[in-house]
Formats: sequence, C-alpha cells, structure tokens
Amino acid sequence: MTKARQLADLGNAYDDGALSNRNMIINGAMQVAQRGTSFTGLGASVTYTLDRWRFADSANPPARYTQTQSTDAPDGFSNSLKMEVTTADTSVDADELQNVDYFIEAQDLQQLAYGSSSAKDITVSFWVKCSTAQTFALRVQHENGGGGYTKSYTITSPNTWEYKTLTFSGNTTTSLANDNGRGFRLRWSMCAGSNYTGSDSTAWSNGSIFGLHENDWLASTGSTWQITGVQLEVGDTATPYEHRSYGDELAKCQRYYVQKNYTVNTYEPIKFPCWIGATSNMTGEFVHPVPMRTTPSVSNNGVGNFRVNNSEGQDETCNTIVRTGGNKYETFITFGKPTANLTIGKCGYINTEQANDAVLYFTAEL
Amino acid sequence: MENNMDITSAQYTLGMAGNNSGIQATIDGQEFSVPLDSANTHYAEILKQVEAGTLTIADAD
Repeated sequence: MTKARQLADLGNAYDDGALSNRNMIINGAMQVAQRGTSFTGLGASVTYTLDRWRFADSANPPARYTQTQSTDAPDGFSNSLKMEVTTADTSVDADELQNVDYFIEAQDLQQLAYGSSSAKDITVSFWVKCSTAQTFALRVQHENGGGGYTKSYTITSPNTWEYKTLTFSGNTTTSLANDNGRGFRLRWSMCAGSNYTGSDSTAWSNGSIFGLHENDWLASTGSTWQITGVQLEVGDTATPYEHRSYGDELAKCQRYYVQKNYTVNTYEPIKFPCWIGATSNMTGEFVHPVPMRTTPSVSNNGVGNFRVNNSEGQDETCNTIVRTGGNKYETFITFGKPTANLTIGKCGYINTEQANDAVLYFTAEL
Repeated sequence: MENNMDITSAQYTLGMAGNNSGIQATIDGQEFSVPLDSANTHYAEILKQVEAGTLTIADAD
C-alpha cells in the first residue's frame, strides 16, 4: 500500500470518527477463552464458546463441529477461532442452517445514526483460512427490526490466511434502541440450505440470509475454517486491526461472562467467605470484576465440588447452590448442606472438595 | 426456526428476604439460578416459553 493510499485511508477514518476505540468487536483476536479452549459436538444447539462468540443452528442439521482456540494465526496474531467438521453433511436440507455468531449491544451502536438520513456505513475486516476454496457469507442482522444485510466472501486459496473486508451501507430507515439489549448480530455462515442462499444483499433486507454460501467444506470430516483479527468499524474503510491488551479484552468480555475457578490448593483453604444465616446454609457475596451487562445467571460445575465449612467442625459437602440476590455489580450465593447444625450469626467459608476445582459461572450474555 | 434453549424445569427460589428472587432452571442440561431481570437472556427465554405455554414455573419450596 502506498503512503498516499494510507494517508487517504487515515483521512477517511478521521471523517468517520474512527481513529481510536474504532474496533467495535470484543475479543476479535480470539485471545480470551474463559469457558475453555475446545468445544466438541457443536451442531444442534446454541452454545457459547470463546468469549463473546457463540454457535447457533436451525432445523438440526447433521453436521457436527469442534471449535478450538487455535494457535495457528496470521502474523501479528496469537490465536484464531477454528471450526473443524467432525460429522460431514453431503446433502444439506433446504431449511438447515448453522452459523458462528457475534452480538453487539444496541447502545454501543448509537454512533451509526441508524434510522436517520445520516446513517453511517460500517466495514467488517477479518483474517480467514479454510481448507476448501469456496464462498461463505457474513450477515449483519439488525436486532431491532431493521432486517439484515448479507455479503459473501470467497476463499481463493485453501489453507492460506486471507484478509477480507466487507462494507455494509447504513440503515436509514430503522433506528437501534439505546439500551443494553441486542443491536447487531453478525452471522458467519457454516452451513446453509437452499432456503437461505441465492444472492447477496444490495440494500437492507433484500437478498438471501446467507448470500452465495456454498457447503462444499462440509463434505468431509477434518475440513477446517478459521477466523481472527475481526474488526467492525464505522465508515467504508478498513483500517489495521486495533490490538488491545489481554487485560483490556478480558475486562470487556467479563461484562458478559465471568468464570471463577476455585482451585484445589490445601494451602489456601478459604475460597469464599460467608455468613451463616440458617442452620443448613451460608451466604457469600461475589463482587463481579466489572459491572456486568445485566444481572447474571449463576451456575456451577457440580455442587459436590464445593465444601461448606465453619470453624466448629460441622464441615460438609455442599448439596445446593442458589443465587439469593444481587444485581449487575454483585451476586449473593447461598450454599446449602444436608445437616442443619450451623450456628446462625457466625461466619463460615466455602472450600473445594479437593478432588476438582470448584467453578462458578456468571452469565449475562446477549 | 432457530433452536431455542431447551428448558426442562423451572422453579422459583427465595431470596434472603424470603421473597421470590430467582428461578432455578435446567437449561440445555445445566442448572442455572436465573434472576428476575428481563434483560437477562435466560429469564427472557423462560418468560417466552411460559407465554407460549410450553413451560411452567413451579412455586418455591
């Protein structure tokens, strides 16, 4: 690229207001993987995977995938999101659909001025690599009733990282709610039946959901599709990927999901201080590392991995874990035990059962 | 139609003040304590399925 071209692009980015904090995608470099680095059997249900990314399907297609946080990435990146076909589908039914999703909060898209005559274009850029030369599609879906806009991209060389940029026109007719709900859903096609393919969009809400997508790569197990360096920015110009530190990315991800691992470690037995409010349970406060998008749901990796302790010898394996209060800043969790022999008003704590880590999951995903 | 969450059970749970403070639900095979917050995706889906008549929320124990 010539200096003149770079200066022209910089001028465009300036005009679009996209010089700093321009990447509206969190974890676009696939660095953060709180839930784990490998997800098997994807295909027939909605599954959240690498932070901020999820898998979704329609009509139960037979194709199955493993998603991993791969260390295979283009220069300047450490990771990619890798989909590998584990069950092939050589005959995709018309109504079948599978895709990799990314959601953006509506309040974070207000700068696009959707629903007005000054609605701005957006450009999505990313690095992609596939074992099959074929066409895939990306759909930007307006989640507040504004339809969708699909563009296709073609893998020209198998097993080679390729840089793609796709520009989508602003939506002048339908605004985005200024709230913490869904604004955009970006959908990368994995599998699409004929009901969903045919043509790209030339305006909002025309064309097919998955444009010119082809299903060739699904024909054999072991086929792979990888993506990283995903950037969505205002304007019609793709600028270089805006790298952020791991800490910055993690904090942004934790607005939507927090995983707290209490590790097996006999030298640090007190994992979660609590107060005893009943003879058979104790309650603790978990302060979220950052304010979450909304009050989170709470789950765990098995109540039997937690041990309820006091200082008087009534320790016992936990048998219930229930969220008993909280908001986007904190969650109160009550840990129960079978025997009602605790002293109300005293303090206690939660430990692991020392066989496995005890893990709490806080979910406020879009 | 995209697959919904598979919610196989739902029961109100009591908070520290003794009021209904959440729902204990089995969602896609995993136990969740879901807050009564309409912006929470799990709660929104529970309400949707209740409205559709495919899910009933049991009273708290």
